[in-house]
Amino acid sequence: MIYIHAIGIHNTVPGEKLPDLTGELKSIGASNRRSDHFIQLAVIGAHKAAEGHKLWEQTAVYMTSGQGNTAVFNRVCEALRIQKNLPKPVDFINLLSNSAGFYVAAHLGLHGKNLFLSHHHFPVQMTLLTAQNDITLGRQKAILAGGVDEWLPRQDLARKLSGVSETTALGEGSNWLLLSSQQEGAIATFELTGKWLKEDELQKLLTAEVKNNQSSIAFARRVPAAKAAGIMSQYPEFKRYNYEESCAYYETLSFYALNSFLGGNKKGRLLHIDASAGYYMVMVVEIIPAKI
Amino acid sequence: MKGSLDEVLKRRLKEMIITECEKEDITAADVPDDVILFSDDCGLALDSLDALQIAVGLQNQFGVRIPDSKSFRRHVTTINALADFIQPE
Repeated sequence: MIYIHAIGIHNTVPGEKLPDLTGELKSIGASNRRSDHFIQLAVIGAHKAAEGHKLWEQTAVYMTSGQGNTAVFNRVCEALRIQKNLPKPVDFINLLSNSAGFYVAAHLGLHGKNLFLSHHHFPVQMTLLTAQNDITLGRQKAILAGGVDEWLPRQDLARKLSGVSETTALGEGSNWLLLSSQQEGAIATFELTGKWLKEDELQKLLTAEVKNNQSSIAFARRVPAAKAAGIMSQYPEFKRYNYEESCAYYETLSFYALNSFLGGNKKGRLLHIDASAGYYMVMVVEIIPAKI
Repeated sequence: MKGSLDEVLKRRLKEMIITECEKEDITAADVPDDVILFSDDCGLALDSLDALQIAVGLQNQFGVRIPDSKSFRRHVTTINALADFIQPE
């Protein structure tokens, strides 16, 4: 088990065009030079998690994304393949996975490890699992872990890349957690079992969880609605946490589910269930009640 | 006409540098013709990544290929020198 010290939420439903983040960047004292929308999203979300906290300068940055810096990828491909020109060097550099993490670290004055983790099935869980392992093993003292996905004007392409239906409303977000092994000052605990659970193993976990009668459950969008409803009727002891009403879909939305629960409640325990390739992963956060 | 005498070309070069290097707070009029671009006196505060951006901008917008850093340092000194390199006659 590790501890969550802060959350940062940037979650928007753009509608028809990409929101301009320049004003928000200026307000937090960040430069938009050489950055692009994806990087700007990362900086704004991470800033919100770090705001008001004196970060240890060796704090690591662990970041993930479902689709990555897709707009810049398109621009580089267009320059190379269609215009038959060289891509802009800055675009090429920003296309490298770790670039966004570099901009986050530079903005926050961090000099720790910078890791970008990509995973087809469970990007959020695998990033947090890596963070949990590195903190538990003492390899990192503090980690700023986040997930970033940008809204694409070409929504047909975005839906195809995400594997969601043609009617799914798409959003964008940058959600971050400040993690550490230290209990002092923490707002919640975080726990994730690394194993991908089969159906019977999920049932076993939920049955064992019944004893915590304050637990809520959130489902990732990939869990079929019928499956989620089935679990809720099978386990009436649990409350369903509906975070979906305040957001549209992006691949790292699971980060938002955790953060919105932590930001909107004074106590409680949340099980976040995600599914892919016939397996489940369950993340558990529990709010530490504030001392009066 | 030599490039250093061609005001239109020099303006295009300055605008390309400002755009490629994302120096939106500077206008073409602020960039002097005869000051070393990569010096403190120029006011552009360019670095090595800007040099790469300028090299690619020259290739994409002016069809001029600068093959290596030695060649870049020789030709991309001042706006006048760069203009003469692009348009010698």
